Amino acid sequence: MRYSAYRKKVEQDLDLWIGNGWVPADNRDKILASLPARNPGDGRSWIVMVASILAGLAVIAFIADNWSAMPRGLKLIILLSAFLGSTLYAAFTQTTNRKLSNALSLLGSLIFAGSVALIGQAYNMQGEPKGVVIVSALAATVIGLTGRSPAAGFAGFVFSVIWIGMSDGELDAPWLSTDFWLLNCVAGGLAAIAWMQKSRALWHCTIIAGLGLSFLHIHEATHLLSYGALELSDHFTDNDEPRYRIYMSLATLMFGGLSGFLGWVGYKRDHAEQTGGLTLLGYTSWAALGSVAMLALPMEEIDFLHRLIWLAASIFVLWFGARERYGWVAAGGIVSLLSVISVIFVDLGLELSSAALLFAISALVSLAIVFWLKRRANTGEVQS
Amino acid sequence: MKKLLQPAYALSASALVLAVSLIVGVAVHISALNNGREITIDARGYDPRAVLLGHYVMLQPDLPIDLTLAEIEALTGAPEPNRPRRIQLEAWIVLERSDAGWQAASVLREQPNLESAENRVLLKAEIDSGWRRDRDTSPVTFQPDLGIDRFYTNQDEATRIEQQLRDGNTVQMILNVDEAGKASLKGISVGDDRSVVSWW
Repeated sequence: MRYSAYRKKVEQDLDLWIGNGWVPADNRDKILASLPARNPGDGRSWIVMVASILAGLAVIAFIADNWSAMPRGLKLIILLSAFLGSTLYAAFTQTTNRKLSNALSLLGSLIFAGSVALIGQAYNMQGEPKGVVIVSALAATVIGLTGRSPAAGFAGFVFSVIWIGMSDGELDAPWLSTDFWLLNCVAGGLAAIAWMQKSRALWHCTIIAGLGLSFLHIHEATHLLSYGALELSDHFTDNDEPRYRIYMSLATLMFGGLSGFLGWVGYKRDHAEQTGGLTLLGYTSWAALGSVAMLALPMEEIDFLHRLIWLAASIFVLWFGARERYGWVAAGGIVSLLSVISVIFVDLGLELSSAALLFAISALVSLAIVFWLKRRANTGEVQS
Repeated sequence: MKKLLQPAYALSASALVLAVSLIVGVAVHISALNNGREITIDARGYDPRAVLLGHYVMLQPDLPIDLTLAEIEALTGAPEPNRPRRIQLEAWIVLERSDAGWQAASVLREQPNLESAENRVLLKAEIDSGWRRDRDTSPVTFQPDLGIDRFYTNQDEATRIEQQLRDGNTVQMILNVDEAGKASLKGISVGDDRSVVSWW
Protein backbone atom coordinates (compact mmCIF):
# COMPACT_ATOMS: atom_id res chain seq x y z
CA MET A 1 0.00 0.00 0.00
CA ARG A 2 1.30 3.46 -0.86
CA TYR A 3 2.30 5.67 2.07
CA SER A 4 -0.35 8.33 1.42
CA ALA A 5 -3.10 5.71 1.13
CA TYR A 6 -1.90 3.99 4.32
CA ARG A 7 -1.90 7.24 6.28
CA LYS A 8 -5.36 8.14 5.03
CA LYS A 9 -6.68 4.73 6.08
CA VAL A 10 -5.20 5.08 9.58
CA GLU A 11 -6.78 8.55 9.91
CA GLN A 12 -10.22 7.18 8.91
CA ASP A 13 -9.91 4.22 11.28
CA LEU A 14 -8.80 6.49 14.12
CA ASP A 15 -11.83 8.74 13.65
CA LEU A 16 -14.07 5.65 13.77
CA TRP A 17 -12.37 4.26 16.89
CA ILE A 18 -12.46 7.64 18.64
CA GLY A 19 -16.14 7.98 17.70
CA ASN A 20 -16.85 4.55 19.26
CA GLY A 21 -14.90 5.49 22.35
CA TRP A 22 -12.26 2.80 21.86
CA VAL A 23 -9.38 5.26 21.58
CA PRO A 24 -9.06 8.52 23.56
CA ALA A 25 -9.25 11.58 21.29
CA ASP A 26 -6.11 12.98 22.90
CA ASN A 27 -4.07 10.10 21.48
CA ARG A 28 -4.97 10.83 17.84
CA ASP A 29 -2.01 13.13 17.12
CA LYS A 30 0.40 10.92 19.04
CA ILE A 31 -0.63 7.86 17.02
CA LEU A 32 -0.37 9.71 13.71
CA ALA A 33 3.03 11.11 14.74
CA SER A 34 4.23 7.56 15.42
CA LEU A 35 3.70 6.51 11.79
CA PRO A 36 7.02 6.10 9.98
CA ALA A 37 8.13 9.23 8.16
CA ARG A 38 7.64 9.21 4.44
CA ASN A 39 10.89 8.31 2.74
CA PRO A 40 10.65 9.14 -0.94
CA GLY A 41 14.29 8.22 -1.68
CA ASP A 42 16.58 10.30 -3.81
CA GLY A 43 16.30 8.22 -7.00
CA ARG A 44 20.05 7.58 -7.05
CA SER A 45 19.73 4.00 -8.19
CA TRP A 46 17.74 5.00 -11.27
CA ILE A 47 20.27 7.68 -12.18
CA VAL A 48 23.08 5.10 -11.80
CA MET A 49 21.15 2.73 -14.12
CA VAL A 50 20.65 5.41 -16.75
CA ALA A 51 24.34 6.36 -16.46
CA SER A 52 25.31 2.70 -16.99
CA ILE A 53 23.21 2.41 -20.11
CA LEU A 54 24.68 5.66 -21.46
CA ALA A 55 28.22 4.47 -20.65
CA GLY A 56 27.58 1.21 -22.52
CA LEU A 57 26.26 3.11 -25.50
CA ALA A 58 29.28 5.44 -25.33
CA VAL A 59 31.73 2.51 -25.61
CA ILE A 60 29.84 1.03 -28.56
CA ALA A 61 29.45 4.41 -30.30
CA PHE A 62 33.17 5.16 -29.75
CA ILE A 63 34.17 1.93 -31.48
CA ALA A 64 31.67 2.53 -34.28
CA ASP A 65 32.89 6.11 -34.76
CA ASN A 66 36.51 4.96 -35.09
CA TRP A 67 35.65 1.90 -37.15
CA SER A 68 37.90 2.77 -40.08
CA ALA A 69 40.82 4.02 -38.02
CA MET A 70 41.10 1.02 -35.69
CA PRO A 71 42.56 -2.32 -36.65
CA ARG A 72 40.40 -5.34 -35.85
CA GLY A 73 42.67 -6.54 -33.07
CA LEU A 74 42.51 -3.17 -31.30
CA LYS A 75 38.70 -3.24 -31.40
CA LEU A 76 38.79 -6.69 -29.85
CA ILE A 77 41.16 -5.55 -27.10
CA ILE A 78 39.15 -2.39 -26.26
CA LEU A 79 35.85 -4.26 -26.14
CA LEU A 80 37.18 -7.10 -24.00
CA SER A 81 38.89 -4.63 -21.65
CA ALA A 82 35.71 -2.60 -21.22
CA PHE A 83 33.68 -5.76 -20.61
CA LEU A 84 36.13 -7.31 -18.15
CA GLY A 85 36.72 -3.97 -16.41
CA SER A 86 33.04 -3.37 -15.71
CA THR A 87 32.12 -6.95 -14.69
CA LEU A 88 35.19 -7.58 -12.53
CA TYR A 89 34.65 -4.26 -10.75
CA ALA A 90 31.01 -5.27 -10.27
CA ALA A 91 32.16 -8.58 -8.79
CA PHE A 92 34.42 -6.98 -6.21
CA THR A 93 31.99 -4.21 -5.16
CA GLN A 94 28.94 -6.48 -4.79
CA THR A 95 29.25 -6.81 -1.01
CA THR A 96 30.31 -3.22 -0.31
CA ASN A 97 28.21 -1.20 -2.78
CA ARG A 98 25.31 -3.16 -4.24
CA LYS A 99 23.86 -0.32 -6.30
CA LEU A 100 27.16 0.32 -8.04
CA SER A 101 27.71 -3.41 -8.59
CA ASN A 102 24.20 -3.80 -10.01
CA ALA A 103 24.77 -0.90 -12.42
CA LEU A 104 28.20 -2.18 -13.47
CA SER A 105 26.77 -5.65 -14.12
CA LEU A 106 24.17 -4.04 -16.39
CA LEU A 107 26.96 -2.11 -18.10
CA GLY A 108 28.95 -5.33 -18.56
CA SER A 109 25.90 -7.06 -20.10
CA LEU A 110 25.39 -4.23 -22.57
CA ILE A 111 29.07 -4.08 -23.52
CA PHE A 112 29.11 -7.86 -24.05
CA ALA A 113 26.08 -7.61 -26.36
CA GLY A 114 27.74 -4.78 -28.30
CA SER A 115 31.01 -6.75 -28.41
CA VAL A 116 29.40 -9.82 -29.96
CA ALA A 117 27.84 -7.68 -32.68
CA LEU A 118 30.93 -5.54 -33.33
CA ILE A 119 33.41 -8.42 -33.27
CA GLY A 120 31.14 -10.32 -35.66
CA GLN A 121 31.31 -7.35 -38.02
CA ALA A 122 35.04 -6.76 -37.59
CA TYR A 123 35.87 -10.36 -38.52
CA ASN A 124 33.10 -10.67 -41.12
CA MET A 125 31.38 -13.55 -39.36
CA GLN A 126 28.19 -14.30 -41.26
CA GLY A 127 25.07 -15.20 -39.35
CA GLU A 128 21.65 -14.08 -38.29
CA PRO A 129 21.51 -10.94 -36.08
CA LYS A 130 19.08 -12.78 -33.81
CA GLY A 131 21.92 -15.15 -32.91
CA VAL A 132 23.70 -12.16 -31.39
CA VAL A 133 20.55 -11.27 -29.45
CA ILE A 134 20.03 -14.72 -27.89
CA VAL A 135 23.71 -14.98 -26.92
CA SER A 136 23.41 -11.52 -25.33
CA ALA A 137 20.29 -12.61 -23.42
CA LEU A 138 22.07 -15.68 -22.09
CA ALA A 139 25.21 -13.74 -21.15
CA ALA A 140 23.20 -11.02 -19.36
CA THR A 141 21.32 -13.69 -17.40
CA VAL A 142 24.55 -15.43 -16.40
CA ILE A 143 26.01 -12.08 -15.28
CA GLY A 144 22.80 -11.31 -13.37
CA LEU A 145 22.80 -14.73 -11.72
CA THR A 146 26.45 -14.84 -10.71
CA GLY A 147 26.62 -11.13 -9.83
CA ARG A 148 23.25 -11.08 -8.01
CA SER A 149 22.21 -8.26 -10.35
CA PRO A 150 18.51 -7.73 -11.10
CA ALA A 151 19.43 -5.03 -13.65
CA ALA A 152 21.54 -7.46 -15.71
CA GLY A 153 18.74 -10.04 -15.42
CA PHE A 154 16.28 -7.45 -16.71
CA ALA A 155 18.61 -6.82 -19.68
CA GLY A 156 18.46 -10.59 -20.33
CA PHE A 157 14.66 -10.38 -20.37
CA VAL A 158 14.69 -7.41 -22.78
CA PHE A 159 17.09 -9.23 -25.15
CA SER A 160 14.76 -12.26 -25.05
CA VAL A 161 11.78 -10.11 -26.00
CA ILE A 162 13.81 -8.61 -28.86
CA TRP A 163 14.68 -12.16 -30.01
CA ILE A 164 10.99 -13.10 -30.05
CA GLY A 165 10.30 -9.99 -32.13
CA MET A 166 12.97 -11.11 -34.62
CA SER A 167 12.17 -14.83 -34.53
CA ASP A 168 10.21 -14.94 -37.82
CA GLY A 169 9.12 -18.56 -38.09
CA GLU A 170 11.56 -19.92 -35.51
CA LEU A 171 8.67 -20.53 -33.12
CA ASP A 172 6.71 -22.60 -35.67
CA ALA A 173 8.39 -25.63 -34.09
CA PRO A 174 9.74 -24.43 -30.74
CA TRP A 175 11.06 -27.80 -29.53
CA LEU A 176 13.23 -28.07 -32.63
CA SER A 177 14.78 -24.66 -32.04
CA THR A 178 17.97 -24.48 -29.95
CA ASP A 179 17.29 -20.81 -29.32
CA PHE A 180 13.91 -21.67 -27.78
CA TRP A 181 15.61 -23.92 -25.23
CA LEU A 182 18.09 -21.15 -24.52
CA LEU A 183 15.09 -18.87 -23.85
CA ASN A 184 13.92 -21.41 -21.28
CA CYS A 185 17.35 -21.20 -19.62
CA VAL A 186 17.04 -17.40 -19.55
CA ALA A 187 13.59 -17.67 -17.92
CA GLY A 188 14.97 -20.10 -15.33
CA GLY A 189 17.83 -17.72 -14.62
CA LEU A 190 15.41 -14.80 -14.23
CA ALA A 191 13.36 -16.79 -11.73
CA ALA A 192 16.49 -17.59 -9.72
CA ILE A 193 17.62 -13.93 -9.65
CA ALA A 194 14.11 -12.74 -8.73
CA TRP A 195 14.02 -15.27 -5.89
CA MET A 196 17.53 -14.54 -4.59
CA GLN A 197 17.27 -10.75 -4.83
CA LYS A 198 13.54 -10.45 -4.08
CA SER A 199 13.25 -8.25 -7.15
CA ARG A 200 9.70 -7.19 -7.98
CA ALA A 201 10.57 -6.12 -11.53
CA LEU A 202 12.19 -9.47 -12.27
CA TRP A 203 9.26 -11.33 -10.72
CA HIS A 204 7.00 -9.63 -13.27
CA CYS A 205 9.45 -10.60 -16.05
CA THR A 206 9.62 -14.19 -14.79
CA ILE A 207 5.85 -14.59 -14.78
CA ILE A 208 5.48 -13.08 -18.27
CA ALA A 209 8.28 -15.29 -19.62
CA GLY A 210 6.96 -18.35 -17.78
CA LEU A 211 3.42 -17.95 -19.10
CA GLY A 212 4.63 -17.31 -22.65
CA LEU A 213 6.95 -20.32 -22.67
CA SER A 214 4.33 -22.56 -21.02
CA PHE A 215 1.90 -21.57 -23.76
CA LEU A 216 4.39 -22.74 -26.41
CA HIS A 217 5.31 -25.94 -24.55
CA ILE A 218 1.64 -26.88 -24.17
CA HIS A 219 0.95 -26.18 -27.85
CA GLU A 220 3.95 -28.29 -28.90
CA ALA A 221 2.91 -31.19 -26.66
CA THR A 222 -0.73 -31.19 -27.74
CA HIS A 223 0.23 -30.72 -31.40
CA LEU A 224 2.53 -33.71 -31.15
CA LEU A 225 -0.29 -35.76 -29.63
CA SER A 226 -2.84 -34.69 -32.23
CA TYR A 227 -0.75 -34.59 -35.40
CA GLY A 228 2.38 -36.53 -34.53
CA ALA A 229 4.45 -33.58 -35.73
CA LEU A 230 6.30 -30.74 -34.07
CA GLU A 231 5.80 -28.16 -36.81
CA LEU A 232 2.89 -26.07 -35.57
CA SER A 233 1.86 -24.74 -38.98
CA ASP A 234 0.97 -26.44 -42.29
CA HIS A 235 -1.54 -28.84 -40.77
CA PHE A 236 -4.63 -26.67 -40.61
CA THR A 237 -6.37 -27.75 -43.78
CA ASP A 238 -10.10 -28.16 -44.30
CA ASN A 239 -10.02 -31.95 -44.33
CA ASP A 240 -8.15 -32.04 -41.03
CA GLU A 241 -10.67 -30.14 -38.91
CA PRO A 242 -11.49 -32.79 -36.26
CA ARG A 243 -7.82 -33.13 -35.31
CA TYR A 244 -7.42 -29.36 -35.32
CA ARG A 245 -10.33 -29.06 -32.89
CA ILE A 246 -8.86 -31.70 -30.59
CA TYR A 247 -5.45 -30.00 -30.67
CA MET A 248 -6.70 -26.47 -30.02
CA SER A 249 -9.24 -27.48 -27.38
CA LEU A 250 -6.70 -29.57 -25.51
CA ALA A 251 -4.01 -26.87 -25.67
CA THR A 252 -6.38 -24.12 -24.54
CA LEU A 253 -7.84 -26.19 -21.72
CA MET A 254 -4.39 -27.16 -20.47
CA PHE A 255 -3.12 -23.57 -20.57
CA GLY A 256 -6.29 -22.31 -18.89
CA GLY A 257 -5.98 -25.03 -16.25
CA LEU A 258 -2.33 -24.16 -15.61
CA SER A 259 -3.18 -20.45 -15.35
CA GLY A 260 -6.03 -21.21 -12.95
CA PHE A 261 -3.78 -23.41 -10.81
CA LEU A 262 -1.03 -20.78 -10.69
CA GLY A 263 -3.66 -18.16 -9.83
CA TRP A 264 -4.76 -20.33 -6.90
CA VAL A 265 -1.10 -20.66 -5.80
CA GLY A 266 -0.76 -16.87 -6.03
CA TYR A 267 -3.93 -16.39 -3.96
CA LYS A 268 -2.64 -18.77 -1.27
CA ARG A 269 0.74 -17.04 -1.21
CA ASP A 270 -0.94 -13.66 -0.86
CA HIS A 271 -3.08 -14.89 2.03
CA ALA A 272 0.02 -16.34 3.67
CA GLU A 273 1.60 -12.88 3.21
CA GLN A 274 4.34 -14.35 1.04
CA THR A 275 5.91 -12.13 -1.59
CA GLY A 276 4.82 -12.21 -5.20
CA GLY A 277 1.49 -13.96 -4.69
CA LEU A 278 -0.63 -11.01 -5.76
CA THR A 279 1.47 -10.41 -8.88
CA LEU A 280 1.17 -14.08 -9.87
CA LEU A 281 -2.59 -13.98 -9.33
CA GLY A 282 -2.94 -10.79 -11.39
CA TYR A 283 -1.18 -12.17 -14.48
CA THR A 284 -2.66 -15.64 -14.32
CA SER A 285 -6.23 -14.38 -13.93
CA TRP A 286 -5.85 -12.51 -17.23
CA ALA A 287 -4.24 -15.57 -18.84
CA ALA A 288 -7.04 -17.85 -17.62
CA LEU A 289 -9.72 -15.49 -18.96
CA GLY A 290 -7.83 -15.33 -22.27
CA SER A 291 -7.93 -19.12 -22.41
CA VAL A 292 -11.67 -19.17 -21.82
CA ALA A 293 -12.08 -16.72 -24.71
CA MET A 294 -9.78 -18.81 -26.94
CA LEU A 295 -11.85 -21.93 -26.37
CA ALA A 296 -14.04 -20.59 -29.17
CA LEU A 297 -11.25 -20.91 -31.77
CA PRO A 298 -11.65 -24.61 -32.53
CA MET A 299 -15.44 -24.40 -32.64
CA GLU A 300 -17.02 -24.86 -36.00
CA GLU A 301 -20.09 -22.76 -35.26
CA ILE A 302 -21.02 -20.20 -32.67
CA ASP A 303 -21.51 -22.05 -29.45
CA PHE A 304 -24.08 -20.75 -27.00
CA LEU A 305 -22.53 -22.74 -24.14
CA HIS A 306 -19.08 -21.21 -24.74
CA ARG A 307 -20.44 -17.68 -24.52
CA LEU A 308 -22.28 -18.58 -21.33
CA ILE A 309 -19.13 -20.07 -19.77
CA TRP A 310 -17.11 -17.01 -20.83
CA LEU A 311 -19.75 -14.71 -19.37
CA ALA A 312 -19.84 -16.67 -16.12
CA ALA A 313 -16.03 -16.73 -15.86
CA SER A 314 -15.85 -12.96 -16.41
CA ILE A 315 -18.49 -12.25 -13.76
CA PHE A 316 -16.80 -14.65 -11.32
CA VAL A 317 -13.37 -13.02 -11.78
CA LEU A 318 -14.90 -9.55 -11.48
CA TRP A 319 -16.71 -10.55 -8.28
CA PHE A 320 -13.62 -12.28 -6.86
CA GLY A 321 -11.36 -9.30 -7.64
CA ALA A 322 -13.85 -6.85 -6.13
CA ARG A 323 -14.41 -8.99 -3.01
CA GLU A 324 -10.71 -9.48 -2.30
CA ARG A 325 -9.85 -5.93 -3.43
CA TYR A 326 -7.52 -7.21 -6.16
CA GLY A 327 -7.68 -4.30 -8.60
CA TRP A 328 -5.93 -5.98 -11.55
CA VAL A 329 -7.98 -9.15 -11.18
CA ALA A 330 -11.22 -7.14 -11.18
CA ALA A 331 -9.93 -5.16 -14.18
CA GLY A 332 -9.38 -8.44 -16.03
CA GLY A 333 -12.95 -9.42 -15.25
CA ILE A 334 -14.25 -6.10 -16.59
CA VAL A 335 -12.23 -6.32 -19.81
CA SER A 336 -13.34 -9.91 -20.32
CA LEU A 337 -16.96 -9.02 -19.62
CA LEU A 338 -16.92 -6.16 -22.13
CA SER A 339 -15.26 -8.46 -24.67
CA VAL A 340 -17.80 -11.24 -24.31
CA ILE A 341 -20.71 -8.80 -24.52
CA SER A 342 -19.24 -7.31 -27.70
CA VAL A 343 -18.66 -10.79 -29.15
CA ILE A 344 -22.21 -11.86 -28.34
CA PHE A 345 -23.58 -8.84 -30.20
CA VAL A 346 -21.38 -9.71 -33.18
CA ASP A 347 -22.46 -13.37 -32.99
CA LEU A 348 -26.13 -12.70 -32.90
CA GLY A 349 -26.33 -9.94 -35.44
CA LEU A 350 -29.95 -8.94 -35.63
CA GLU A 351 -31.18 -11.69 -33.36
CA LEU A 352 -31.68 -9.32 -30.48
CA SER A 353 -34.30 -11.55 -28.90
CA SER A 354 -31.64 -14.22 -28.32
CA ALA A 355 -29.23 -11.58 -26.99
CA ALA A 356 -31.92 -10.31 -24.62
CA LEU A 357 -32.56 -13.86 -23.38
CA LEU A 358 -28.86 -14.51 -22.80
CA PHE A 359 -28.34 -11.22 -20.93
CA ALA A 360 -31.52 -11.72 -18.90
CA ILE A 361 -30.38 -15.20 -17.80
CA SER A 362 -26.95 -13.80 -16.89
CA ALA A 363 -28.50 -10.89 -14.98
CA LEU A 364 -30.82 -13.23 -13.05
CA VAL A 365 -27.97 -15.60 -12.20
CA SER A 366 -25.82 -12.64 -11.08
CA LEU A 367 -28.64 -11.29 -8.88
CA ALA A 368 -29.23 -14.77 -7.43
CA ILE A 369 -25.53 -15.00 -6.54
CA VAL A 370 -25.62 -11.54 -4.92
CA PHE A 371 -28.74 -12.56 -2.95
CA TRP A 372 -27.11 -15.80 -1.82
CA LEU A 373 -23.92 -14.01 -0.76
CA LYS A 374 -25.90 -11.40 1.16
CA ARG A 375 -27.91 -14.10 2.92
CA ARG A 376 -24.78 -16.03 3.80
CA ALA A 377 -23.17 -12.88 5.21
CA ASN A 378 -26.29 -12.11 7.33
CA THR A 379 -26.39 -15.68 8.66
CA GLY A 380 -22.75 -15.40 9.61
CA GLU A 381 -23.37 -12.13 11.48
CA VAL A 382 -26.29 -13.64 13.44
CA GLN A 383 -24.27 -16.73 14.37
CA SER A 384 -21.29 -14.65 15.52
CA MET B 1 31.90 -24.45 -2.32
CA LYS B 2 29.54 -21.81 -0.94
CA LYS B 3 32.36 -19.29 -1.10
CA LEU B 4 32.84 -19.99 -4.81
CA LEU B 5 29.21 -19.04 -5.44
CA GLN B 6 29.77 -15.56 -4.00
CA PRO B 7 29.71 -12.81 -6.67
CA ALA B 8 33.41 -11.98 -6.21
CA TYR B 9 34.28 -15.46 -7.49
CA ALA B 10 31.24 -16.48 -9.52
CA LEU B 11 30.87 -13.23 -11.49
CA SER B 12 34.63 -13.00 -12.08
CA ALA B 13 34.67 -16.56 -13.36
CA SER B 14 31.63 -16.08 -15.61
CA ALA B 15 33.08 -12.81 -16.98
CA LEU B 16 36.33 -14.57 -17.82
CA VAL B 17 34.47 -17.48 -19.44
CA LEU B 18 32.42 -15.08 -21.56
CA ALA B 19 35.51 -13.10 -22.59
CA VAL B 20 37.42 -16.27 -23.45
CA SER B 21 34.44 -17.57 -25.43
CA LEU B 22 34.57 -14.41 -27.57
CA ILE B 23 38.28 -14.90 -28.22
CA VAL B 24 37.77 -18.60 -28.98
CA GLY B 25 34.96 -17.70 -31.38
CA VAL B 26 37.28 -15.36 -33.30
CA ALA B 27 40.12 -17.90 -33.20
CA VAL B 28 37.92 -20.68 -34.59
CA HIS B 29 36.70 -18.36 -37.35
CA ILE B 30 40.22 -17.25 -38.32
CA SER B 31 41.44 -20.84 -38.21
CA ALA B 32 38.58 -21.96 -40.48
CA LEU B 33 39.43 -19.19 -42.93
CA ASN B 34 43.03 -20.35 -43.14
CA ASN B 35 42.50 -24.10 -43.31
CA GLY B 36 40.28 -24.78 -46.31
CA ARG B 37 40.30 -24.40 -50.07
CA GLU B 38 40.36 -20.81 -51.26
CA ILE B 39 38.23 -19.97 -54.27
CA THR B 40 37.40 -16.61 -55.81
CA ILE B 41 34.06 -16.07 -57.48
CA ASP B 42 32.24 -13.07 -58.90
CA ALA B 43 29.89 -11.20 -56.60
CA ARG B 44 26.62 -9.53 -57.36
CA GLY B 45 25.24 -6.76 -55.19
CA TYR B 46 21.71 -5.97 -54.13
CA ASP B 47 19.81 -3.76 -51.72
CA PRO B 48 22.83 -2.25 -50.05
CA ARG B 49 21.70 -1.01 -46.63
CA ALA B 50 20.39 -2.01 -43.24
CA VAL B 51 20.63 0.82 -40.78
CA LEU B 52 21.07 -1.22 -37.59
CA LEU B 53 23.99 -3.30 -38.83
CA GLY B 54 26.39 -0.49 -39.70
CA HIS B 55 28.31 -0.07 -42.94
CA TYR B 56 28.50 -3.03 -45.19
CA VAL B 57 27.92 -4.13 -48.74
CA MET B 58 25.10 -6.54 -49.40
CA LEU B 59 26.39 -9.04 -51.92
CA GLN B 60 26.04 -12.66 -52.91
CA PRO B 61 28.18 -15.09 -54.87
CA ASP B 62 27.18 -15.06 -58.52
CA LEU B 63 26.93 -18.79 -59.28
CA PRO B 64 23.99 -19.29 -61.64
CA ILE B 65 22.83 -22.89 -62.02
CA ASP B 66 20.43 -23.84 -64.83
CA LEU B 67 18.38 -26.96 -64.22
CA THR B 68 15.91 -28.56 -66.59
CA LEU B 69 12.61 -30.01 -65.37
CA ALA B 70 14.02 -33.54 -65.57
CA GLU B 71 17.03 -32.55 -63.47
CA ILE B 72 14.80 -30.86 -60.90
CA GLU B 73 12.54 -33.93 -60.67
CA ALA B 74 15.60 -36.09 -60.20
CA LEU B 75 16.45 -33.95 -57.20
CA THR B 76 13.01 -33.46 -55.67
CA GLY B 77 10.82 -36.24 -57.02
CA ALA B 78 7.81 -35.80 -59.30
CA PRO B 79 5.63 -32.83 -58.35
CA GLU B 80 1.98 -33.12 -57.38
CA PRO B 81 -0.18 -32.37 -60.41
CA ASN B 82 -2.07 -29.07 -60.69
CA ARG B 83 -0.34 -27.47 -57.72
CA PRO B 84 2.12 -24.61 -57.68
CA ARG B 85 5.61 -25.82 -56.92
CA ARG B 86 8.52 -24.52 -54.98
CA ILE B 87 11.85 -26.26 -55.27
CA GLN B 88 13.68 -25.74 -52.02
CA LEU B 89 16.41 -28.05 -50.84
CA GLU B 90 19.86 -28.32 -49.40
CA ALA B 91 22.16 -29.60 -52.09
CA TRP B 92 25.77 -30.27 -52.96
CA ILE B 93 27.14 -28.18 -55.78
CA VAL B 94 30.19 -29.25 -57.71
CA LEU B 95 32.20 -26.22 -58.80
CA GLU B 96 34.75 -26.51 -61.58
CA ARG B 97 37.35 -23.99 -62.59
CA SER B 98 37.49 -22.94 -66.22
CA ASP B 99 38.99 -19.97 -68.03
CA ALA B 100 35.95 -17.93 -66.94
CA GLY B 101 36.61 -18.78 -63.27
CA TRP B 102 34.73 -21.08 -60.89
CA GLN B 103 31.38 -22.26 -62.30
CA ALA B 104 28.69 -24.64 -61.04
CA ALA B 105 28.98 -27.92 -62.93
CA SER B 106 26.31 -30.06 -61.27
CA VAL B 107 23.87 -30.20 -58.36
CA LEU B 108 23.47 -33.34 -56.27
CA ARG B 109 21.14 -34.34 -53.45
CA GLU B 110 23.69 -36.54 -51.66
CA GLN B 111 27.33 -35.82 -51.01
CA PRO B 112 29.32 -37.36 -53.90
CA ASN B 113 32.52 -39.24 -53.34
CA LEU B 114 34.74 -37.07 -55.50
CA GLU B 115 38.45 -37.39 -55.70
CA SER B 116 40.08 -34.12 -54.78
CA ALA B 117 41.27 -32.19 -57.75
CA GLU B 118 42.90 -28.83 -58.14
CA ASN B 119 40.16 -27.51 -60.40
CA ARG B 120 37.13 -28.90 -58.56
CA VAL B 121 35.51 -28.11 -55.22
CA LEU B 122 32.35 -29.24 -53.44
CA LEU B 123 30.01 -26.69 -51.86
CA LYS B 124 26.99 -27.20 -49.63
CA ALA B 125 24.21 -24.69 -50.34
CA GLU B 126 20.49 -24.13 -50.31
CA ILE B 127 18.68 -23.70 -53.57
CA ASP B 128 15.24 -22.15 -53.87
CA SER B 129 13.25 -21.62 -57.04
CA GLY B 130 10.49 -19.51 -55.49
CA TRP B 131 6.88 -20.44 -56.38
CA ARG B 132 6.24 -21.64 -59.92
CA ARG B 133 3.03 -22.50 -61.74
CA ASP B 134 2.46 -26.20 -62.33
CA ARG B 135 2.39 -25.75 -66.13
CA ASP B 136 5.72 -23.94 -66.17
CA THR B 137 8.19 -26.45 -67.62
CA SER B 138 10.97 -24.04 -68.57
CA PRO B 139 14.44 -24.54 -67.06
CA VAL B 140 15.02 -22.81 -63.75
CA THR B 141 18.04 -20.65 -62.95
CA PHE B 142 19.03 -20.94 -59.30
CA GLN B 143 21.38 -18.77 -57.33
CA PRO B 144 22.59 -20.96 -54.46
CA ASP B 145 22.42 -19.53 -50.96
CA LEU B 146 25.74 -20.08 -49.20
CA GLY B 147 24.66 -18.20 -46.07
CA ILE B 148 26.91 -15.31 -47.05
CA ASP B 149 25.17 -12.10 -47.92
CA ARG B 150 27.25 -9.18 -46.67
CA PHE B 151 30.72 -7.81 -46.35
CA TYR B 152 31.32 -5.43 -43.46
CA THR B 153 33.67 -2.59 -44.13
CA ASN B 154 34.00 1.14 -43.47
CA GLN B 155 31.72 3.66 -45.12
CA ASP B 156 34.18 4.83 -47.79
CA GLU B 157 35.09 1.31 -48.83
CA ALA B 158 31.42 0.20 -48.82
CA THR B 159 30.48 3.13 -51.07
CA ARG B 160 33.39 2.36 -53.42
CA ILE B 161 32.42 -1.31 -53.74
CA GLU B 162 28.78 -0.44 -54.34
CA GLN B 163 29.81 1.99 -57.08
CA GLN B 164 31.94 -0.70 -58.72
CA LEU B 165 28.98 -3.10 -58.67
CA ARG B 166 26.65 -0.43 -60.10
CA ASP B 167 29.13 0.34 -62.88
CA GLY B 168 29.18 -3.33 -63.85
CA ASN B 169 32.82 -3.82 -62.80
CA THR B 170 33.96 -7.11 -61.38
CA VAL B 171 33.90 -7.46 -57.62
CA GLN B 172 35.00 -10.86 -56.37
CA MET B 173 34.38 -12.69 -53.14
CA ILE B 174 37.25 -14.67 -51.70
CA LEU B 175 35.67 -17.76 -50.15
CA ASN B 176 37.16 -20.47 -48.04
CA VAL B 177 35.54 -23.90 -48.36
CA ASP B 178 36.15 -26.48 -45.64
CA GLU B 179 35.96 -30.26 -45.96
CA ALA B 180 32.27 -30.27 -45.04
CA GLY B 181 31.53 -28.01 -48.00
CA LYS B 182 30.82 -24.95 -45.84
CA ALA B 183 31.91 -21.68 -47.39
CA SER B 184 33.14 -18.72 -45.31
CA LEU B 185 33.85 -15.24 -46.57
CA LYS B 186 37.58 -14.71 -46.32
CA GLY B 187 37.75 -11.36 -48.03
CA ILE B 188 36.92 -9.36 -51.10
CA SER B 189 38.78 -8.37 -54.19
CA VAL B 190 38.03 -5.17 -56.09
CA GLY B 191 40.24 -4.62 -59.12
CA ASP B 192 43.78 -5.11 -57.85
CA ASP B 193 42.84 -4.50 -54.20
CA ARG B 194 42.55 -7.65 -52.15
CA SER B 195 41.25 -7.34 -48.60
CA VAL B 196 41.44 -10.47 -46.41
CA VAL B 197 40.22 -10.98 -42.81
CA SER B 198 43.02 -11.58 -40.30
CA TRP B 199 43.54 -11.30 -36.52
CA TRP B 200 44.78 -7.70 -36.67
